[in-house]
Amino acid sequence: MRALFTFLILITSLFGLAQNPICSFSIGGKVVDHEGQALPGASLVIIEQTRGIVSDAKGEFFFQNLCEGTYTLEVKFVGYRTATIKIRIKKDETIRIALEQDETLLNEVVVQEHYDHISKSQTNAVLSGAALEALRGKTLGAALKNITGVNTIQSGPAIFKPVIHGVHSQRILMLNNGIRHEGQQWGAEHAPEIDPFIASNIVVIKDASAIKYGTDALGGVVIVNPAALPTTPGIGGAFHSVWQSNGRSGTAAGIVEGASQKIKGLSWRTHGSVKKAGDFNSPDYVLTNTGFEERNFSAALGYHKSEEAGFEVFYSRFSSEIGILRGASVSSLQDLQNAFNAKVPQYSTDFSYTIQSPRQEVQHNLLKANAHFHRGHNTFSVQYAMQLNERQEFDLRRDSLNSLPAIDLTLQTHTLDAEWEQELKQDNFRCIGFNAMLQTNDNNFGTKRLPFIPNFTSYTGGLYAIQHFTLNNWDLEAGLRFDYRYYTVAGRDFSNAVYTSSMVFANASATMGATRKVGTAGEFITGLSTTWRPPHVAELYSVGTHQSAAAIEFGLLLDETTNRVKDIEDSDFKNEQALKWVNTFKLAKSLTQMEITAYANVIFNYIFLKPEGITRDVRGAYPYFRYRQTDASFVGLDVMVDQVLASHVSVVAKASLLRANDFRNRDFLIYIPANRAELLLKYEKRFDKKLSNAFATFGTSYTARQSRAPRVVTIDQIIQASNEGQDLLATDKSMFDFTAAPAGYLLAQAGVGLSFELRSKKLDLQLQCDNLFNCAYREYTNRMRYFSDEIGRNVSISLKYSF
Amino acid sequence: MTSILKPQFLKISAIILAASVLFSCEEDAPGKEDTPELITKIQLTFTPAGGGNPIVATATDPDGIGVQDIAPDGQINLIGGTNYRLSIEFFNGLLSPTEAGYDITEEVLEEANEHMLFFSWDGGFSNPTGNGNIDNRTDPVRYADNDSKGLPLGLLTDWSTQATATQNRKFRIMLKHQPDLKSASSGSNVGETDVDIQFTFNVTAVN
Repeated sequence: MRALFTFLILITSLFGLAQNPICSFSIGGKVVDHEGQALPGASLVIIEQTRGIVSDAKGEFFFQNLCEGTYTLEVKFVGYRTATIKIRIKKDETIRIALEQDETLLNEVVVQEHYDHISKSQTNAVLSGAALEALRGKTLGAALKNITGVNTIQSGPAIFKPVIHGVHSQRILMLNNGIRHEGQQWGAEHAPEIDPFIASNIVVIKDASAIKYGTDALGGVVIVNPAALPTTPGIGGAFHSVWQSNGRSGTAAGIVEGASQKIKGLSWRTHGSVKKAGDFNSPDYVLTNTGFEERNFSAALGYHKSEEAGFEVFYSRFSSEIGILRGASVSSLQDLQNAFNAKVPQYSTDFSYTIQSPRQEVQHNLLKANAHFHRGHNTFSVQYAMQLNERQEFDLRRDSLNSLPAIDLTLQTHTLDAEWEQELKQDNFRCIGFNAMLQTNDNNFGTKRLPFIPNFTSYTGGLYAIQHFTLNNWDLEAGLRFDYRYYTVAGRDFSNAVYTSSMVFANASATMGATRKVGTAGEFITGLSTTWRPPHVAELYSVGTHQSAAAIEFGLLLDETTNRVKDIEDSDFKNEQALKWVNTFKLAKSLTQMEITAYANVIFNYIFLKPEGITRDVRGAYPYFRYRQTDASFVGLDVMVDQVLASHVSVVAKASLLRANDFRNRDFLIYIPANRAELLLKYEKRFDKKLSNAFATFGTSYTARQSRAPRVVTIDQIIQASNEGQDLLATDKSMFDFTAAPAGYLLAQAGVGLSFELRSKKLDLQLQCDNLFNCAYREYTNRMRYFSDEIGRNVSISLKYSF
Repeated sequence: MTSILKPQFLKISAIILAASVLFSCEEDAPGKEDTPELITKIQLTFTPAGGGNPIVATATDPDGIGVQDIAPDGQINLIGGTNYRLSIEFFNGLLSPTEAGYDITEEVLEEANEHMLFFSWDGGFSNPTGNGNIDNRTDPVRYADNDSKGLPLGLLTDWSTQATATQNRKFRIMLKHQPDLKSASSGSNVGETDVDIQFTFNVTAVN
């Protein structure tokens, strides 16, 4: 718990405080009890700014970048009377806050939500507070793009898959409310089914050392955390509305939460959000059929009995329908060539809210129950979750088939996690845990298509142990994990014949991390980890084309000439194994915040889609890709600097650089995010009385052309060679792309915001304009770049009312 | 590190596998779908207008979406100076002729309003003249059938071979799916491709 708090302080100082950087004063100090003992985990809130932090392991806290003025500091700790302190700030202040024990509450008081340790020895980045508020209305993937080192693979304006340090899909683990998110992650156009409105903070762990969460975290972990359930009796909440000009979209969301007055420790929360967007538009034309609709709902109920135990149940439902650019639907290379040559995408027409094929309909349900118990220095926690993911993909088909999904999958996942954690001296801890997972994937009958992936059931078990200790000035952490997965698979091959198979994958992961203070304001973190992942069934058995792509995909286990499914024992398959080294230096001074991360990730037996040749079927020539394995390296640098320039004015600079290589074949990888840099100027002024805060921002971002892109083989070249009986892709199997990487681009953005406070209620207003100069550009990592420009200018208005 | 431990893992895995097999049931395969979009065989039947033996040519894809190419099963041998009615049929050859979904021609016919066949060739015919309408919709092709809006479909077309012999002429057929896009001017670059196949044909001189 303490590690988390330390971490929270760090991130608050990096992000939360970055919101008011014009002012350079600080309040630091210590929270103690009546005997002078440190109180770690006390919550501190500056009421005027709704900025909150939690005291660290030594009871210490630190608020930075405060303006001159008087503030109300509210300090809460379970079992103690809440203290409210008025502080006048003219210079940096250090205070000691002693809390009085609350006798009446002591026996029945509410315990703070049980948090997982987020290791000190990890390189994390967080979106929370105002930084997260500014991104409300965006999808999870799009919001994550604001973290340095995180990018996206896009399929149009509404589908974003997060990419951490150049690595994505099955190599990123997502935790939604503490549960390993299980959807159909294999598809490049399958965005995570998580509503970001539910989150009070989103954490990205950039190193692979998130060992307690399971396999697959080769690139990193995305953690979506809702806030802890309220502890103070009463009802509170917020309503949020966002309107955007591009796509003419509207979003409405609300959260209502409360704690019971009668039953101490009983609390609840419910949230809902509705989004609707029509066709987006590029500067020059409408991106027909790119609208989407989303309806989400969640409810949580918790009961916390003193320090000893807590129970919670949680349910959430995510439901979306997303259109895919109509002009991107092609069924042959010739069609693709026509689409490339079209100045305006085929079928581009007037704006509409209608969503037609190609489109996706996805529902994700999560039901979770968890409990934790404290005994002395021990915490035992257990959680069970059931996830039901239903995905239907509608391709553009002949009239009578148009209403039938081409892919119709139901994925059911049960997870059981248990952990024992022991607090040791000197803020150290150890924990031991296990994870079990049962997953079934079913193709629902009635698609009138060959199933793209087979039915399967998987049984997964994992055991881990983590030890945290202090050596001289270093905080060290070591972890070891063992995982086992058993699959039974049954599918249909190209000829509609049944095949069945069963497989076992087992391996170990290990991690070492170390942290030390550098000077008074600096911190150095280094982490080395090795981890692996079992293959996804899609990588082994895929057959066919999916969602309007002019390419055929074959799984690793498909025979090269007969197309029949091979036994895995007869293939040269090896588990993917990563070795990642991440080094971070953080500096947190009153006028300067800085974070520099350098990383190297080597993934052995990296599974990727490799072009293997051209096949001619009745529609004409098609390139086909096979899942193959190679060795890949990802080396990069993330930099973030937040500097106060003058009174009320600050600047934030970010850059992320990445070089990726297929070093076994001495080739480039495709869809690797290009180098990016961003500069944001911010003017912020606080006023007294009703107009409590106002800000204006102007920013610019530059994305370079991806110069390390695979060779270009044009469709004309392929078709011409194919007509002459040559197969250009079979003779040279190196990676290729149909077009060169698009040019680099420079975008500008501007925003203004106002906050009013009336008694305990608060109103936030924001006006934001992205792509200010309506530039026409294409993004290398957007799969729609072959067909259309990115979206043009977008003005969004956001309103939030909290009570 | 893991590579050192690997033999042990394999042993453990084997034991756990044995245990798993005992209590896990066999996975059920997905149900067998009809696949009406899967065309693996195209049949061209040239019937002489004045009677006589029809000339049949086929192209077959042995494995559908598999890696093997579709290829014409031999060349088309037409007789010079003859008027032919060409009828085109589509099949899913991965099914047996008795199974439902074997003949796909019917489906195209039912949705004639959003389908159209285009043709190109490089000689061999006296009528129509030119090189076909794949490059230019307005070039002549003698359609012998229409959709319900009176627009050409192309499952039936008329051809007259030239009188003189010629060898190794190319004959390309393209079936386009043009939902809401089919019009009097929509060409072969509009819509999605359902079929795109090239045959070689010879014309023998009139005896």
